[in-house]
Amino acid sequence: MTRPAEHPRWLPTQALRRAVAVGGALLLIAVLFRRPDSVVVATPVLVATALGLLRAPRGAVSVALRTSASSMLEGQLMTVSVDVSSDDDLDVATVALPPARFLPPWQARRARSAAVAASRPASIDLDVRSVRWGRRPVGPATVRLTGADCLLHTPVLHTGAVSSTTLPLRDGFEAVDAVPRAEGLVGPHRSRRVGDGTDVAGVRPFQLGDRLHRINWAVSLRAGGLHVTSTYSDRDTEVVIVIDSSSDFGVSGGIDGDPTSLDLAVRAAASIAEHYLRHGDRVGLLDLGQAVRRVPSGAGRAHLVRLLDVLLDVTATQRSIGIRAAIAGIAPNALVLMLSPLVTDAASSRAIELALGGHTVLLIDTLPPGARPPGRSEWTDLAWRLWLLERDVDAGRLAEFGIPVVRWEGAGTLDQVLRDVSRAAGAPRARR
Amino acid sequence: MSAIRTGQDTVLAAARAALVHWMLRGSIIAAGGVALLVTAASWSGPVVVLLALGALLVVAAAVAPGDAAPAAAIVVLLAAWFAVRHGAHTPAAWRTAVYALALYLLHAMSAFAGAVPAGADVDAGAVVRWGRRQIAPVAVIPVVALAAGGLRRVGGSLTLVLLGLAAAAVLAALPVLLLRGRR
Repeated sequence: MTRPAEHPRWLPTQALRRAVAVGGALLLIAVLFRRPDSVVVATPVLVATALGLLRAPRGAVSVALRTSASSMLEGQLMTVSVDVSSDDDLDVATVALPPARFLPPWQARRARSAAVAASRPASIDLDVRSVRWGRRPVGPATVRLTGADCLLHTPVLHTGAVSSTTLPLRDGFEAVDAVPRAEGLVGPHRSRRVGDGTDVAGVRPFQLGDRLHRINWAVSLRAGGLHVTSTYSDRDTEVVIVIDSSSDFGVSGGIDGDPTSLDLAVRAAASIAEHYLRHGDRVGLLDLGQAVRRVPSGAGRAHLVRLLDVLLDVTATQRSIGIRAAIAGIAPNALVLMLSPLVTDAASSRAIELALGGHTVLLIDTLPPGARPPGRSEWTDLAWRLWLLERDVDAGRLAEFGIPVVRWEGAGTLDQVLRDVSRAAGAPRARR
Repeated sequence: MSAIRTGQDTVLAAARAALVHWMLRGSIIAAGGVALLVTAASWSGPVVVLLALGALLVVAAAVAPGDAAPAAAIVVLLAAWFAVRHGAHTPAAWRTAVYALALYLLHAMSAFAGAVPAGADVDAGAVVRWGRRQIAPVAVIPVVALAAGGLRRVGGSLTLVLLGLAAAAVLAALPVLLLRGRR
């Protein structure tokens, strides 16, 4: 962001005051005490001062801040550049960035100094490392200019600020191919039905209507009758990620420190979304804290960007506006992955509501491992253990509603539970 | 997406920045040390106190070059110089020249080091550019020292003293006039 060129006020530095005082005093001493050596000592100081002031800056100065990229991933470095242009030569332009909790300077280098040539903009770069997802401003940077051989300096100038987005680091996440209920007739997942597809289901005798290219000639010759290779049909599915943002448990230490429950939820949501979208499925997102911004299911790379954009704005909030309508909008056959630290009863209620509505719901526990509340008394630990026991009981009750609860552990977290849910969905059920 | 930069360059830059700061501060101490050595021809009581105080202030000037410490160090060093050299003879030209050079470098190094914050990564170009600017003032020193060395003590002429005072006043006022003129 560029600030218009301005004529800054130039103030004397300590060096100028020192030079004038010492130089003048030495000349007086030289005359009063007849000391030529005093003139010798004073001369370079006064000559340098006179030359410096002859080169004193008079023109306009402009400072502008820009960044190497507007968005990055957690843990990545970003270069913040401050362009300083001046009509005069400047000895030193020192650029410093204000301390920012989740944008610390790389290698603790918060300031950088460089010379600026007249009418030739100098770009002074500083590296910062974003350690937590979200949107946050970069800057304003402070700039201090020194000219006239370090005899004059400006007050601190401020650049504008630019916004930056840090996308949640996507953990390596892979899930098994099984989906409980397929939504479409084509897609990347193997269905439980035999049909046109790529995964081999077996070899069976030829029936009327079988396609000729399915005939397995080797088996047919051995068996003496026509046999065909049957395959499972391919299906796709719809995955809806629901984030419980009613509370954020813990203190975020960024990507290098301890995560909060929302950190885990957002990173997990990003990983899950990317995984299913990469496999061609349709993914939707519902953040219970901003239900009005529900992202309908969609597919493709552009849709991932849209999902990440909403994830950036996830904050701990307890708003219930529009949640019921948003939940009602979830497709009946969708696989609902709910991310919650199970701190409040509201999340369990929502999960049960979804399950009773006929959705397949998996609840992913995002309570950070090793989480512990700040100690307030000698009873804190005991109270915490009791609360964890109660929480386990609640999770068990959710299982009674057919909602498995699984702790988020990155890759393979959902494999076993997806297999179980798929098996359960395939079992015959009585209609009421 | 932002470009991922390897940390190696940044670590090297950080090491180079630290080196620049150490060199600047080391130069301040070296200049002050030379001024002390040139001054210390005699080790009488009050001079030793001044020299010890000067040494402490030189270190303080290296630690906080942007504050008043360099000025205090220069004042104490000058006091020590005049205390030691307040004899009947004029100091040797070479000794005066070395002293003037050391004192000027102490002043100039402090000015530059005071302009860059302690933790800042200093661009090498800025140091080189500032170093070039110091050639002219340093080159003047031997010329003036030789001229001063050639002079004998001037007799007690009132006219000469008044003329000298006027010249000193003009020279001292020159920076102030230049500063006012640019406003």
